[in-house]
Amino acid sequence: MTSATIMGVVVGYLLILLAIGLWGGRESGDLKGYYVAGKKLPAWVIAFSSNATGESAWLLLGLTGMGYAIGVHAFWIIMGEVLGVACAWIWVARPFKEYTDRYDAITVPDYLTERFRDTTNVFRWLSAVIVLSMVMAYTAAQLTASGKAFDSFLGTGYTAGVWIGLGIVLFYTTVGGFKAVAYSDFLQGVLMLGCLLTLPVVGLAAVGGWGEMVASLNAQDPALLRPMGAYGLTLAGVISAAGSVAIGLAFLGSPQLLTRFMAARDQKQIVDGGFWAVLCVIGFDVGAVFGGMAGRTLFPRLDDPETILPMMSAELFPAFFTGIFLVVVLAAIMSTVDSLLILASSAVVRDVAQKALGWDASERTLSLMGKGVTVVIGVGGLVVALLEVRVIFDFVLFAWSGIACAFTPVVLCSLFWKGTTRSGAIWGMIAGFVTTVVWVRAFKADFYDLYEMIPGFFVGLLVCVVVSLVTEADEDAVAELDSVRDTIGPVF
Amino acid sequence: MPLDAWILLIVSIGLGLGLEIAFIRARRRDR
Repeated sequence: MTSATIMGVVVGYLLILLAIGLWGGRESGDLKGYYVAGKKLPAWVIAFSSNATGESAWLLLGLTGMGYAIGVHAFWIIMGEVLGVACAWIWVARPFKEYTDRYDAITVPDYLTERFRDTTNVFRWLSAVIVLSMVMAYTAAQLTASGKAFDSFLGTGYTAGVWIGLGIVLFYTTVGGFKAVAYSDFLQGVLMLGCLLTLPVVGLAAVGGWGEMVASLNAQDPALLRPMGAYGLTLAGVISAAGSVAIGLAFLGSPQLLTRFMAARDQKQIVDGGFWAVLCVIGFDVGAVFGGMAGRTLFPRLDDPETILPMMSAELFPAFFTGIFLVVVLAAIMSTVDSLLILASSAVVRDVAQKALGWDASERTLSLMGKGVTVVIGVGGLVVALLEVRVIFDFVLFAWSGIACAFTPVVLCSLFWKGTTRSGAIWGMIAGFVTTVVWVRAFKADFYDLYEMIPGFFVGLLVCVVVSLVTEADEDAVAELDSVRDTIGPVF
Repeated sequence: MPLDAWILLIVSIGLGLGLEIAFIRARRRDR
Protein backbone atom coordinates (compact mmCIF):
# COMPACT_ATOMS: atom_id res chain seq x y z
CA MET A 1 0.00 0.00 0.00
CA THR A 2 2.79 2.38 0.97
CA SER A 3 4.72 1.56 -2.17
CA ALA A 4 1.55 1.93 -4.26
CA THR A 5 0.95 5.41 -2.81
CA ILE A 6 4.49 6.53 -3.58
CA MET A 7 4.24 5.03 -7.04
CA GLY A 8 0.94 6.87 -7.61
CA VAL A 9 2.50 10.23 -6.71
CA VAL A 10 5.49 9.62 -8.97
CA VAL A 11 3.38 8.49 -11.91
CA GLY A 12 1.10 11.52 -11.47
CA TYR A 13 4.10 13.84 -11.55
CA LEU A 14 5.58 12.18 -14.61
CA LEU A 15 2.23 12.46 -16.43
CA ILE A 16 2.16 16.20 -15.68
CA LEU A 17 5.63 16.53 -17.23
CA LEU A 18 4.51 14.67 -20.33
CA ALA A 19 1.48 17.00 -20.60
CA ILE A 20 3.73 20.06 -20.32
CA GLY A 21 5.86 18.60 -23.12
CA LEU A 22 2.84 18.21 -25.39
CA TRP A 23 1.60 21.71 -24.50
CA GLY A 24 4.97 23.30 -25.23
CA GLY A 25 5.28 21.47 -28.54
CA ARG A 26 3.22 24.02 -30.43
CA GLU A 27 6.05 26.54 -30.19
CA SER A 28 9.01 24.29 -30.89
CA GLY A 29 8.69 24.26 -34.67
CA ASP A 30 11.57 26.67 -35.31
CA LEU A 31 14.94 27.27 -33.66
CA LYS A 32 13.90 30.38 -31.74
CA GLY A 33 10.90 28.52 -30.38
CA TYR A 34 12.82 25.35 -29.60
CA TYR A 35 15.81 26.99 -27.91
CA VAL A 36 14.43 30.15 -26.22
CA ALA A 37 10.63 29.65 -26.24
CA GLY A 38 10.21 32.50 -28.72
CA LYS A 39 11.54 34.96 -26.08
CA LYS A 40 8.12 35.20 -24.46
CA LEU A 41 8.63 33.92 -20.91
CA PRO A 42 7.22 35.80 -17.89
CA ALA A 43 9.16 36.81 -14.76
CA TRP A 44 7.94 34.05 -12.45
CA VAL A 45 8.86 31.32 -14.93
CA ILE A 46 12.42 32.54 -15.61
CA ALA A 47 13.01 33.13 -11.89
CA PHE A 48 12.08 29.65 -10.67
CA SER A 49 13.40 28.02 -13.82
CA SER A 50 16.87 29.54 -13.49
CA ASN A 51 17.13 28.52 -9.84
CA ALA A 52 15.86 24.99 -10.44
CA THR A 53 18.36 24.60 -13.30
CA GLY A 54 21.22 26.06 -11.26
CA GLU A 55 20.73 23.79 -8.29
CA SER A 56 20.37 20.18 -9.50
CA ALA A 57 20.29 17.14 -7.22
CA TRP A 58 23.22 18.65 -5.35
CA LEU A 59 20.83 20.99 -3.53
CA LEU A 60 18.62 18.23 -2.16
CA LEU A 61 21.18 15.51 -1.49
CA GLY A 62 24.48 17.40 -1.36
CA LEU A 63 23.54 20.57 0.52
CA THR A 64 21.30 18.80 3.05
CA GLY A 65 24.27 16.44 3.50
CA MET A 66 26.54 19.42 4.13
CA GLY A 67 24.12 20.83 6.73
CA TYR A 68 24.31 17.38 8.31
CA ALA A 69 28.10 17.02 8.09
CA ILE A 70 29.40 20.55 8.77
CA GLY A 71 26.41 22.44 10.27
CA VAL A 72 26.78 26.22 10.47
CA HIS A 73 29.89 26.22 8.24
CA ALA A 74 27.48 25.54 5.34
CA PHE A 75 26.04 29.07 5.82
CA TRP A 76 28.93 30.26 3.62
CA ILE A 77 27.30 28.42 0.73
CA ILE A 78 24.06 30.30 1.42
CA MET A 79 26.00 33.57 1.25
CA GLY A 80 27.63 32.63 -2.07
CA GLU A 81 24.45 31.48 -3.74
CA VAL A 82 22.21 34.34 -2.55
CA LEU A 83 24.79 36.94 -3.54
CA GLY A 84 25.45 35.21 -6.86
CA VAL A 85 21.77 35.10 -7.80
CA ALA A 86 21.17 38.70 -6.68
CA CYS A 87 24.19 40.08 -8.59
CA ALA A 88 23.26 38.13 -11.73
CA TRP A 89 19.74 39.58 -11.83
CA ILE A 90 20.80 43.10 -10.84
CA TRP A 91 23.92 43.62 -12.97
CA VAL A 92 24.16 40.92 -15.64
CA ALA A 93 20.62 40.19 -16.78
CA ARG A 94 19.52 43.58 -18.16
CA PRO A 95 22.54 44.44 -20.34
CA PHE A 96 22.71 40.83 -21.52
CA LYS A 97 19.03 40.90 -22.46
CA GLU A 98 19.47 44.22 -24.26
CA TYR A 99 22.43 42.95 -26.27
CA THR A 100 20.84 39.64 -27.20
CA ASP A 101 17.60 41.34 -28.29
CA ARG A 102 19.58 43.70 -30.52
CA TYR A 103 21.39 40.75 -32.11
CA ASP A 104 18.31 38.51 -32.14
CA ALA A 105 20.66 36.02 -30.47
CA ILE A 106 19.34 32.70 -29.22
CA THR A 107 22.57 31.22 -27.82
CA VAL A 108 25.46 32.62 -25.78
CA PRO A 109 27.93 31.97 -28.65
CA ASP A 110 25.53 33.99 -30.88
CA TYR A 111 26.01 36.85 -28.43
CA LEU A 112 29.81 36.51 -28.18
CA THR A 113 30.18 36.29 -31.96
CA GLU A 114 28.20 39.48 -32.54
CA ARG A 115 29.60 41.33 -29.54
CA PHE A 116 33.19 40.84 -30.74
CA ARG A 117 32.41 41.12 -34.47
CA ASP A 118 33.88 37.66 -34.99
CA THR A 119 33.77 36.32 -38.54
CA THR A 120 35.71 33.10 -37.96
CA ASN A 121 33.11 31.31 -35.77
CA VAL A 122 35.80 30.59 -33.20
CA PHE A 123 33.40 31.32 -30.31
CA ARG A 124 30.92 28.84 -31.72
CA TRP A 125 33.45 25.99 -32.08
CA LEU A 126 35.06 26.69 -28.73
CA SER A 127 31.72 26.87 -26.95
CA ALA A 128 30.53 23.67 -28.60
CA VAL A 129 33.61 21.72 -27.44
CA ILE A 130 33.35 23.04 -23.86
CA VAL A 131 29.60 22.68 -23.57
CA LEU A 132 29.44 19.21 -25.10
CA SER A 133 32.21 17.74 -22.96
CA MET A 134 30.88 19.24 -19.74
CA VAL A 135 27.21 18.56 -20.47
CA MET A 136 27.93 14.90 -21.12
CA ALA A 137 29.61 14.58 -17.69
CA TYR A 138 26.96 16.62 -15.91
CA THR A 139 24.09 14.73 -17.56
CA ALA A 140 25.69 11.40 -16.71
CA ALA A 141 26.09 12.47 -13.08
CA GLN A 142 22.46 13.59 -12.88
CA LEU A 143 21.24 10.36 -14.49
CA THR A 144 23.31 8.44 -11.95
CA ALA A 145 21.46 10.37 -9.24
CA SER A 146 18.18 9.51 -10.97
CA GLY A 147 19.08 5.81 -10.90
CA LYS A 148 19.92 6.02 -7.20
CA ALA A 149 16.75 7.97 -6.37
CA PHE A 150 14.37 5.56 -8.13
CA ASP A 151 16.18 2.60 -6.64
CA SER A 152 16.28 3.89 -3.05
CA PHE A 153 12.65 5.07 -2.98
CA LEU A 154 10.95 2.49 -5.19
CA GLY A 155 13.44 -0.37 -5.48
CA THR A 156 13.40 -0.25 -9.28
CA GLY A 157 17.08 -1.11 -9.56
CA TYR A 158 19.76 1.38 -10.62
CA THR A 159 19.69 0.70 -14.36
CA ALA A 160 15.91 0.95 -14.66
CA GLY A 161 15.99 4.20 -12.66
CA VAL A 162 18.47 5.73 -15.09
CA TRP A 163 16.35 4.69 -18.09
CA ILE A 164 13.09 5.99 -16.61
CA GLY A 165 14.65 9.35 -15.70
CA LEU A 166 16.17 9.89 -19.12
CA GLY A 167 13.08 8.69 -20.99
CA ILE A 168 10.79 11.22 -19.35
CA VAL A 169 13.22 14.13 -19.76
CA LEU A 170 13.88 13.32 -23.41
CA PHE A 171 10.17 13.16 -24.15
CA TYR A 172 9.16 16.53 -22.80
CA THR A 173 12.38 18.25 -23.90
CA THR A 174 12.29 17.09 -27.50
CA VAL A 175 8.52 17.46 -27.92
CA GLY A 176 8.06 20.69 -25.98
CA GLY A 177 11.41 22.45 -26.47
CA PHE A 178 12.57 25.27 -24.21
CA LYS A 179 9.02 26.33 -23.36
CA ALA A 180 8.34 22.91 -21.83
CA VAL A 181 11.75 22.95 -20.17
CA ALA A 182 11.15 26.36 -18.58
CA TYR A 183 7.59 25.65 -17.39
CA SER A 184 8.50 22.20 -16.10
CA ASP A 185 11.46 23.81 -14.31
CA PHE A 186 9.02 26.28 -12.76
CA LEU A 187 6.87 23.44 -11.46
CA GLN A 188 9.97 21.60 -10.27
CA GLY A 189 11.33 24.73 -8.57
CA VAL A 190 8.06 25.27 -6.69
CA LEU A 191 8.04 21.63 -5.55
CA MET A 192 11.65 21.86 -4.41
CA LEU A 193 10.95 25.05 -2.50
CA GLY A 194 7.88 23.62 -0.80
CA CYS A 195 9.69 20.51 0.36
CA LEU A 196 12.81 22.32 1.50
CA LEU A 197 10.72 24.71 3.60
CA THR A 198 8.76 21.81 5.09
CA LEU A 199 11.74 19.58 5.86
CA PRO A 200 13.37 21.64 8.67
CA VAL A 201 9.99 22.52 10.23
CA VAL A 202 8.97 18.86 10.50
CA GLY A 203 12.50 17.91 11.50
CA LEU A 204 12.56 20.48 14.31
CA ALA A 205 9.15 19.37 15.53
CA ALA A 206 10.39 15.77 15.66
CA VAL A 207 13.53 16.83 17.52
CA GLY A 208 11.52 18.71 20.15
CA GLY A 209 12.29 22.27 19.09
CA TRP A 210 15.11 24.64 18.27
CA GLY A 211 16.79 24.47 21.67
CA GLU A 212 16.88 20.68 21.56
CA MET A 213 18.47 20.70 18.13
CA VAL A 214 21.18 23.18 19.11
CA ALA A 215 21.92 21.30 22.35
CA SER A 216 22.16 18.00 20.51
CA LEU A 217 24.47 19.39 17.82
CA ASN A 218 26.65 20.99 20.48
CA ALA A 219 26.86 17.70 22.36
CA GLN A 220 27.77 15.76 19.19
CA ASP A 221 30.42 18.22 18.04
CA PRO A 222 30.67 21.91 19.04
CA ALA A 223 32.28 22.64 15.65
CA LEU A 224 28.85 22.06 14.05
CA LEU A 225 27.76 25.42 15.48
CA ARG A 226 30.88 27.42 14.55
CA PRO A 227 31.03 29.54 11.37
CA MET A 228 34.54 28.31 10.61
CA GLY A 229 33.61 24.72 11.47
CA ALA A 230 36.17 22.17 12.54
CA TYR A 231 38.94 24.15 10.84
CA GLY A 232 38.62 27.19 13.13
CA LEU A 233 40.14 30.47 11.96
CA THR A 234 42.95 28.82 9.98
CA LEU A 235 44.09 29.02 6.36
CA ALA A 236 42.19 25.81 5.64
CA GLY A 237 39.05 27.31 7.22
CA VAL A 238 39.29 30.51 5.19
CA ILE A 239 39.89 28.56 1.98
CA SER A 240 36.92 26.33 2.71
CA ALA A 241 34.66 29.35 3.38
CA ALA A 242 35.92 31.18 0.27
CA GLY A 243 35.32 28.09 -1.86
CA SER A 244 31.76 27.89 -0.55
CA VAL A 245 31.09 31.55 -1.38
CA ALA A 246 32.65 31.06 -4.84
CA ILE A 247 29.90 28.59 -5.78
CA GLY A 248 27.80 31.71 -6.42
CA LEU A 249 30.15 32.98 -9.17
CA ALA A 250 28.66 30.49 -11.58
CA PHE A 251 25.29 32.27 -11.47
CA LEU A 252 26.90 35.31 -13.13
CA GLY A 253 27.69 33.80 -16.50
CA SER A 254 26.84 30.13 -17.01
CA PRO A 255 25.15 29.76 -20.40
CA GLN A 256 22.37 27.49 -19.13
CA LEU A 257 21.32 30.35 -16.81
CA LEU A 258 21.95 33.22 -19.25
CA THR A 259 19.54 31.49 -21.64
CA ARG A 260 16.74 32.33 -19.17
CA PHE A 261 17.50 36.04 -19.45
CA MET A 262 17.50 35.79 -23.26
CA ALA A 263 14.13 34.02 -23.16
CA ALA A 264 12.44 36.70 -21.00
CA ARG A 265 9.57 38.57 -22.65
CA ASP A 266 11.10 42.00 -21.95
CA GLN A 267 13.22 43.96 -19.47
CA LYS A 268 10.37 44.35 -16.99
CA GLN A 269 10.27 40.57 -16.51
CA ILE A 270 13.90 40.68 -15.46
CA VAL A 271 13.36 43.44 -12.90
CA ASP A 272 10.40 41.57 -11.42
CA GLY A 273 11.97 38.13 -11.70
CA GLY A 274 15.09 38.98 -9.69
CA PHE A 275 13.14 39.42 -6.47
CA TRP A 276 11.46 36.02 -6.83
CA ALA A 277 14.76 34.39 -7.75
CA VAL A 278 16.48 35.74 -4.63
CA LEU A 279 13.61 34.71 -2.34
CA CYS A 280 13.57 31.29 -3.98
CA VAL A 281 17.29 30.64 -3.51
CA ILE A 282 17.11 31.78 0.12
CA GLY A 283 14.30 29.28 0.72
CA PHE A 284 16.21 26.53 -1.10
CA ASP A 285 19.46 26.96 0.77
CA VAL A 286 18.24 27.82 4.26
CA GLY A 287 15.76 24.94 4.11
CA ALA A 288 18.39 22.48 2.92
CA VAL A 289 21.03 23.43 5.51
CA PHE A 290 18.64 23.54 8.47
CA GLY A 291 16.97 20.36 7.24
CA GLY A 292 20.36 18.66 7.34
CA MET A 293 21.09 20.06 10.82
CA ALA A 294 17.76 18.81 12.16
CA GLY A 295 18.47 15.47 10.50
CA ARG A 296 21.80 15.22 12.28
CA THR A 297 19.98 15.51 15.58
CA LEU A 298 17.51 12.79 14.64
CA PHE A 299 19.85 10.37 12.87
CA PRO A 300 23.35 11.13 14.17
CA ARG A 301 25.20 8.12 12.83
CA LEU A 302 24.54 7.95 9.09
CA ASP A 303 27.41 6.52 7.02
CA ASP A 304 26.57 8.79 4.10
CA PRO A 305 25.33 12.32 5.03
CA GLU A 306 23.84 12.66 1.54
CA THR A 307 21.16 10.11 2.41
CA ILE A 308 19.68 12.34 5.11
CA LEU A 309 16.84 13.72 2.97
CA PRO A 310 15.57 10.29 1.82
CA MET A 311 15.97 9.07 5.41
CA MET A 312 13.96 11.95 6.90
CA SER A 313 11.25 11.73 4.25
CA ALA A 314 10.83 7.99 4.86
CA GLU A 315 10.88 8.19 8.68
CA LEU A 316 9.02 11.46 9.40
CA PHE A 317 6.38 11.69 6.69
CA PRO A 318 3.42 9.55 5.61
CA ALA A 319 3.76 7.60 2.35
CA PHE A 320 2.12 10.28 0.21
CA PHE A 321 4.74 12.84 1.25
CA THR A 322 7.54 10.32 0.85
CA GLY A 323 6.33 10.09 -2.75
CA ILE A 324 6.42 13.88 -2.96
CA PHE A 325 10.02 13.89 -1.74
CA LEU A 326 10.99 11.36 -4.41
CA VAL A 327 9.29 13.61 -6.94
CA VAL A 328 11.28 16.56 -5.65
CA VAL A 329 14.61 14.75 -5.97
CA LEU A 330 13.61 13.76 -9.50
CA ALA A 331 12.52 17.34 -10.15
CA ALA A 332 15.92 18.67 -9.17
CA ILE A 333 17.63 16.15 -11.43
CA MET A 334 15.32 16.62 -14.40
CA SER A 335 15.28 20.42 -14.24
CA THR A 336 19.06 20.40 -14.68
CA VAL A 337 19.28 17.65 -17.27
CA ASP A 338 16.62 19.15 -19.54
CA SER A 339 18.35 22.55 -19.62
CA LEU A 340 21.77 21.05 -20.29
CA LEU A 341 20.48 18.84 -23.08
CA ILE A 342 18.84 21.75 -24.83
CA LEU A 343 21.96 23.89 -24.30
CA ALA A 344 24.20 21.23 -25.87
CA SER A 345 21.73 20.73 -28.71
CA SER A 346 21.77 24.48 -29.44
CA ALA A 347 25.58 24.42 -29.51
CA VAL A 348 25.55 21.66 -32.14
CA VAL A 349 22.65 22.75 -34.34
CA ARG A 350 22.51 26.54 -34.07
CA ASP A 351 26.18 27.34 -33.51
CA VAL A 352 27.99 24.63 -35.44
CA ALA A 353 25.60 23.33 -38.11
CA GLN A 354 23.64 26.46 -38.99
CA LYS A 355 26.15 29.23 -38.34
CA ALA A 356 29.68 27.78 -38.45
CA LEU A 357 29.09 25.22 -41.21
CA GLY A 358 26.42 27.32 -42.93
CA TRP A 359 23.86 24.54 -43.41
CA ASP A 360 21.04 26.07 -45.35
CA ALA A 361 18.07 24.08 -44.07
CA SER A 362 14.57 25.28 -43.23
CA GLU A 363 13.80 26.32 -39.65
CA ARG A 364 11.58 23.27 -39.30
CA THR A 365 14.33 20.93 -40.45
CA LEU A 366 16.82 22.55 -38.09
CA SER A 367 14.35 22.28 -35.23
CA LEU A 368 13.90 18.56 -35.95
CA MET A 369 17.66 18.21 -36.10
CA GLY A 370 17.89 19.96 -32.70
CA LYS A 371 15.50 17.39 -31.27
CA GLY A 372 17.53 14.54 -32.73
CA VAL A 373 20.74 15.93 -31.27
CA THR A 374 19.04 16.29 -27.87
CA VAL A 375 18.27 12.56 -27.95
CA VAL A 376 21.81 11.62 -29.05
CA ILE A 377 23.43 13.64 -26.24
CA GLY A 378 21.00 12.23 -23.68
CA VAL A 379 21.83 8.68 -24.78
CA GLY A 380 25.56 9.54 -24.53
CA GLY A 381 25.01 10.62 -20.92
CA LEU A 382 23.05 7.41 -20.33
CA VAL A 383 25.95 5.25 -21.52
CA VAL A 384 28.36 7.04 -19.18
CA ALA A 385 25.88 6.71 -16.29
CA LEU A 386 25.39 3.00 -16.91
CA LEU A 387 29.13 2.48 -16.74
CA GLU A 388 28.43 3.35 -13.11
CA VAL A 389 30.56 6.41 -12.65
CA ARG A 390 29.10 6.79 -9.19
CA VAL A 391 31.04 9.71 -7.74
CA ILE A 392 28.15 12.05 -8.40
CA PHE A 393 28.95 15.28 -6.76
CA ASP A 394 32.61 15.65 -7.68
CA PHE A 395 31.47 15.23 -11.26
CA VAL A 396 28.68 17.75 -10.85
CA LEU A 397 30.91 20.39 -9.29
CA PHE A 398 33.59 19.82 -11.90
CA ALA A 399 31.22 20.17 -14.84
CA TRP A 400 29.40 23.12 -13.28
CA SER A 401 32.65 24.96 -12.64
CA GLY A 402 34.16 24.04 -16.02
CA ILE A 403 31.31 25.67 -17.96
CA ALA A 404 31.11 28.56 -15.50
CA CYS A 405 34.84 29.40 -15.63
CA ALA A 406 34.90 29.27 -19.42
CA PHE A 407 32.02 31.72 -19.85
CA THR A 408 31.60 33.86 -16.73
CA PRO A 409 34.80 35.98 -16.80
CA VAL A 410 34.38 36.65 -20.53
CA VAL A 411 30.68 37.45 -20.32
CA LEU A 412 31.30 39.85 -17.42
CA CYS A 413 34.14 41.62 -19.26
CA SER A 414 32.05 41.84 -22.43
CA LEU A 415 29.18 43.48 -20.57
CA PHE A 416 31.14 45.93 -18.42
CA TRP A 417 34.54 46.71 -19.94
CA LYS A 418 34.89 48.55 -23.22
CA GLY A 419 38.48 47.40 -23.58
CA THR A 420 37.55 43.73 -23.95
CA THR A 421 38.74 42.41 -27.31
CA ARG A 422 37.96 39.36 -29.39
CA SER A 423 41.38 37.85 -28.67
CA GLY A 424 41.03 38.56 -24.95
CA ALA A 425 37.66 36.82 -24.88
CA ILE A 426 38.91 33.75 -26.77
CA TRP A 427 41.97 33.26 -24.57
CA GLY A 428 39.97 34.07 -21.44
CA MET A 429 37.53 31.26 -22.26
CA ILE A 430 40.33 28.78 -22.93
CA ALA A 431 42.27 29.80 -19.80
CA GLY A 432 39.23 29.62 -17.51
CA PHE A 433 38.25 26.18 -18.76
CA VAL A 434 41.76 24.67 -18.83
CA THR A 435 42.62 26.06 -15.38
CA THR A 436 39.52 24.41 -13.91
CA VAL A 437 40.40 21.01 -15.33
CA VAL A 438 44.11 21.25 -14.47
CA TRP A 439 43.38 22.50 -10.95
CA VAL A 440 41.11 19.56 -10.17
CA ARG A 441 43.48 17.01 -11.67
CA ALA A 442 46.83 18.34 -10.43
CA PHE A 443 46.62 20.91 -7.65
CA LYS A 444 43.37 20.79 -5.71
CA ALA A 445 44.39 18.11 -3.23
CA ASP A 446 47.59 19.97 -2.33
CA PHE A 447 45.87 23.32 -1.71
CA TYR A 448 43.37 22.49 1.04
CA ASP A 449 40.85 21.36 -1.60
CA LEU A 450 40.43 24.94 -2.82
CA TYR A 451 37.32 24.90 -5.01
CA GLU A 452 38.34 25.13 -8.68
CA MET A 453 35.90 27.97 -9.34
CA ILE A 454 38.32 30.39 -7.66
CA PRO A 455 41.46 29.71 -9.73
CA GLY A 456 39.40 29.02 -12.87
CA PHE A 457 37.43 32.26 -12.65
CA PHE A 458 40.35 34.52 -11.74
CA VAL A 459 42.81 33.04 -14.24
CA GLY A 460 40.15 33.36 -16.97
CA LEU A 461 39.51 36.96 -15.93
CA LEU A 462 43.22 37.80 -15.75
CA VAL A 463 43.99 36.32 -19.17
CA CYS A 464 40.97 38.06 -20.73
CA VAL A 465 42.11 41.42 -19.32
CA VAL A 466 45.82 41.04 -20.12
CA VAL A 467 45.28 39.89 -23.71
CA SER A 468 42.69 42.64 -24.20
CA LEU A 469 45.18 45.24 -23.01
CA VAL A 470 47.70 44.28 -25.68
CA THR A 471 45.13 44.08 -28.48
CA GLU A 472 42.71 46.66 -29.81
CA ALA A 473 38.97 46.72 -29.19
CA ASP A 474 36.59 47.20 -32.12
CA GLU A 475 35.38 50.83 -32.23
CA ASP A 476 31.82 49.88 -33.14
CA ALA A 477 31.69 47.48 -30.23
CA VAL A 478 32.89 50.19 -27.85
CA ALA A 479 30.22 52.62 -29.10
CA GLU A 480 27.63 49.88 -28.81
CA LEU A 481 28.48 49.24 -25.15
CA ASP A 482 27.85 52.94 -24.44
CA SER A 483 24.56 52.71 -26.28
CA VAL A 484 23.48 49.62 -24.30
CA ARG A 485 24.34 51.38 -21.03
CA ASP A 486 22.31 54.43 -22.07
CA THR A 487 19.34 52.27 -22.96
CA ILE A 488 19.15 50.31 -19.72
CA GLY A 489 20.07 53.25 -17.46
CA PRO A 490 21.73 53.14 -14.04
CA VAL A 491 21.40 50.17 -11.70
CA PHE A 492 20.53 52.13 -8.56
CA MET B 1 23.15 28.92 18.34
CA PRO B 2 26.18 31.16 19.01
CA LEU B 3 26.01 34.85 18.12
CA ASP B 4 28.66 34.60 15.39
CA ALA B 5 26.62 31.90 13.66
CA TRP B 6 23.51 34.12 13.73
CA ILE B 7 25.52 37.03 12.33
CA LEU B 8 26.83 34.87 9.49
CA LEU B 9 23.32 33.66 8.68
CA ILE B 10 21.83 37.16 8.71
CA VAL B 11 24.65 38.58 6.57
CA SER B 12 24.38 35.63 4.15
CA ILE B 13 20.72 36.31 3.53
CA GLY B 14 20.68 40.06 4.08
CA LEU B 15 23.41 41.08 1.62
CA GLY B 16 21.77 39.59 -1.45
CA LEU B 17 18.22 40.39 -0.39
CA GLY B 18 19.14 43.97 0.54
CA LEU B 19 20.78 44.56 -2.84
CA GLU B 20 17.75 43.17 -4.64
CA ILE B 21 15.30 45.32 -2.67
CA ALA B 22 17.41 48.44 -3.29
CA PHE B 23 17.47 47.60 -7.00
CA ILE B 24 13.70 47.18 -7.23
CA ARG B 25 13.09 50.43 -5.33
CA ALA B 26 15.44 52.27 -7.72
CA ARG B 27 13.69 50.82 -10.79
CA ARG B 28 10.23 51.74 -9.47
CA ARG B 29 11.45 55.24 -8.73
CA ASP B 30 12.65 55.61 -12.32
CA ARG B 31 9.45 54.29 -13.93
